[in-house]
Amino acid sequence: MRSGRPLPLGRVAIIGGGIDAWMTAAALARATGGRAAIRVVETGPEASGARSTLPALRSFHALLGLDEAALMTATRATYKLGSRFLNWTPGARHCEAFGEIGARLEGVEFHHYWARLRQAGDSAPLDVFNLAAVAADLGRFAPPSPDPRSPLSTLTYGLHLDAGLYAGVLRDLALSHGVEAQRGAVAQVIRDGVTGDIAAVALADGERVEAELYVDATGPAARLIGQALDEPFEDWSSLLPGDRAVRLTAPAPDVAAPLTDIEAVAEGWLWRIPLQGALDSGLVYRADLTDDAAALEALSRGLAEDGRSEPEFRTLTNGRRARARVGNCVAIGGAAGGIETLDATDLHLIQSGVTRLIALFPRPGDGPAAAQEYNRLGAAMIERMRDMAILHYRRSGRRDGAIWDLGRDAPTPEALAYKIAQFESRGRVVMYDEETFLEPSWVAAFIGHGVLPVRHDPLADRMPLDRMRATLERMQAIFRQTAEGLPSHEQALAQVGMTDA
Amino acid sequence: MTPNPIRKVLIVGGGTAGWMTAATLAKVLKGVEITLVESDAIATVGVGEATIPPITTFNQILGIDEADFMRSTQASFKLAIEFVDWTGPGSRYLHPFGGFGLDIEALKFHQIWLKARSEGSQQPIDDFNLSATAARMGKFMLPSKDPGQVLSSLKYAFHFDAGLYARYLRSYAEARGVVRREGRVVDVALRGEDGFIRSVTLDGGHEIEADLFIDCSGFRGLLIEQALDTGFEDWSHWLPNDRAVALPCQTGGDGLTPYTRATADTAGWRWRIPLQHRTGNGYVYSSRHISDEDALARLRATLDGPARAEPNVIRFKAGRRKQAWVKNCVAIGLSSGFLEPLESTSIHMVQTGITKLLALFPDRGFDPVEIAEYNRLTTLQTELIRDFIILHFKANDRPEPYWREARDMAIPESLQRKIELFAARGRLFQSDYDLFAEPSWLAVLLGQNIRPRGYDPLVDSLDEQLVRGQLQRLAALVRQTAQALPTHEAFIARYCAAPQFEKTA
Repeated sequence: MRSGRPLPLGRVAIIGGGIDAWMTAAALARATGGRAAIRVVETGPEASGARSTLPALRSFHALLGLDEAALMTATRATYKLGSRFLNWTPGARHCEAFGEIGARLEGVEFHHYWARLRQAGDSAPLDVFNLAAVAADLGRFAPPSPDPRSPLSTLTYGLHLDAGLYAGVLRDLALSHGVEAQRGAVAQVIRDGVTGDIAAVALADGERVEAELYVDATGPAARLIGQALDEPFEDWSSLLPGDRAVRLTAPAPDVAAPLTDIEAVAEGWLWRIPLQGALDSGLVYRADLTDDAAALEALSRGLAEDGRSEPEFRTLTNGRRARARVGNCVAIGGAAGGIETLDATDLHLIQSGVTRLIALFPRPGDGPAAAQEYNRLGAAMIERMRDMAILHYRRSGRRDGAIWDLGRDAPTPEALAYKIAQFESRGRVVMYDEETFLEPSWVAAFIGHGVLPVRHDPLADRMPLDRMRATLERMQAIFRQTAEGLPSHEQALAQVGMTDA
Repeated sequence: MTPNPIRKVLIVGGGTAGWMTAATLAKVLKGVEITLVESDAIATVGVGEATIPPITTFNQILGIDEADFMRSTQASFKLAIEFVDWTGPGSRYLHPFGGFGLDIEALKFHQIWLKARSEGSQQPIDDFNLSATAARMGKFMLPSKDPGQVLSSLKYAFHFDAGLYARYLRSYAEARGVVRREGRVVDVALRGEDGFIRSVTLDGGHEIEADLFIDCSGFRGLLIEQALDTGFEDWSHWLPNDRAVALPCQTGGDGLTPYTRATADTAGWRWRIPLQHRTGNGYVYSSRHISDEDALARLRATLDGPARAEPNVIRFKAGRRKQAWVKNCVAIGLSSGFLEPLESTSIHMVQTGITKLLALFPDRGFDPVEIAEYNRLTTLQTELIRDFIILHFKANDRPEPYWREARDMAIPESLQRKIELFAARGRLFQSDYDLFAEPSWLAVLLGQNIRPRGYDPLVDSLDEQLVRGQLQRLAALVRQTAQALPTHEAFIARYCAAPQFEKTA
């Protein structure tokens, strides 16, 4: 145990493993500046596979002082301009890319002009007006331009990362900031008889870990908040049908497009996340409809046999902990909740949990207000993310698997139903508080999944049709030319000194 | 093309709301006939009005030349509101525009300031806000566009004569094709099949039909309430003030201050709004707690100089129209609800009403989808403003019965939660729908004496010596920047002086 004078920000014990634990440790170490004793008890689970991430993660890295080039090299990372959805209706494809779609014209959002053009009989898909989507489709990439006049200034990007390596980078960073780590297993969580708070975590080797703040980073097992504190779990399996996943990694000599592929098949949906020299693939399915062997077979279709990793199966639970912060315990990541990773939200859930913990960092004796606010904001955020995941299922046109019927027919939460009705009627994008996805993402998801506005903003009618058509054609040509002029994804990665020359 | 576009819009009522709406629609819409009905016989409420910074966006949308508009409306600049006597005699604080200090990584500046204060620092938080510092010195200049300059952090709005403002926008609107009809509305005809408004009839017998009706008729809600029976949600149990008496006076006292003043009084509060040619004054009060005569006497006794008009009494009730948009009628301005002008939100609510109407502009089908969204947004936005205003009354330290009742009242849960969170460790979280950003809540919470018991513990991770130095440098930079500015009067004299601009210095 640490000895000497108590530190002003007290002791934090993080129990668990993987990215959940190390993201928390690294961020808290940075935020507390060495004035808290932070300790990680590595009980697992370990991180495996790859992660597809949102642009917001990069600002988190900046806050941690992580150099992006070094991070990318260390984690076999590739760039991500968005996600490509394939066959959610058989034969259909669309891109949900980061960055802007088209440009606002005369004070009216671009997609109203697109809708008007479509009503006039033109058939250009929305993607051709999204520079990121065009570039990604061509396998090209460039970082955003700082010049606001350049179309490249509208670009923004996320990363594809190897999860185990990423956890390692965060671990090294945390340790370099004085975080202590030990392996161990939880034997018992001892609670204070009066307050019900955690008094200590007894490890299998007999050691008692005491702290003012306990972080449950044990993933869906929720060893502290669920098993010990009995905080209920709000189950969303009636809203989202996936409940099991299998994944594996295969070698990939060529650098793929800077995209995550999300492809629907009869059994569920596949992800393909490109890494440097490798491709991480997985299938999300439903255990009572597809057994593991069939799932593995579906995943393996079209993948080269050589060099594949062993398949890894895991159970998914869509839902959230009723309260992620209870007493002196905070659940971060999987212990707090999760949703099918259709939209690359799993790291974002960890990031937002940690960020909120930093904004509402507790000290003994604090009243309930901060914990209540933590839980209120966290609940709103994961619900908005969940709504995006549900949207994909609700409008799928697949008829070849029972999972798709379940996804289509499940109830739609009221907030999402309102959002869909608003968009479908006149292209209005409703943004609630605590949204993770910005307006262009919602527009791309709606239109991509066939939620097409019946009407558009009448103010888009002020522009004469031929002028509008010419403007949109010019826009399309500029995006195409700009994208064609960009380096390939491979060249872009080489520029940060990463690919083997 | 939209198959059933709106062809005719009728705005009922002139005044600020009516003419702001007419001017914007005339600017933005194409091929739509816009008519405004008003009667010279009906007085508008508009007095000296104070605004908030988004008004500059409104001016930009219309393409209004700022100096020209200020000259035409006897306008002055506003950097803050000064609250006097709210927490006891002699107490004063500013609610300035713009933010305070600079955040350090994830740490909010005000948390750093709270810690310094807990260690005995006496430096007011205003020293870290340029608008506040300049306001105290009576200085003004337009902000710099270079984000590297401290002067870029200056945020401003205007004080102007609302009657002149309406007149200014009227010329703007008429020049762009809006037709003004003189007359009083004596009848509103509804369509038999769906209860939509078909037409209004004026006292001369002239009947005007339209597709879309905009009710800018003020408190009484000629269309939205009298014709469509929409209903009113009463908030007077939170905001009991129900009268105001307005009385302009000759410039005097502190002169042409670049800020509004709101002074708490026995049974309400008094405003002071400096314009170029005179000062606007008023007393907003609760008729249960003070008589009209006493309120007027009190107002007279506190004027800076001789009165320049007859007193004008206004009656109202705090609350909101249950739906601001019903069928083919949209209520904008006081017809959609009333919150006392303590935080200068009246004109802003007109502005957001217009903005929302344009964002959700209907066709003749009047889909319930647009109406639902308009009303949802209006409700959320109005409730957040309501909470902010209630805060001023709830957190007071005055002895009179009126103020004791305010202190003891139960407040909305949304506000209670905010106060408790702030009182613990000074934390603030903002809804995207809230007009008032964190710095505004901070200024008023602190000003109303809600002193956090602690601060964000992570501030302890910063090097104290370093932080102290930074605070001093920052305050010095703000002070020097403010000192170098011209006085408010000098700036107005050279930028936008109206012919009658009286120098009081």
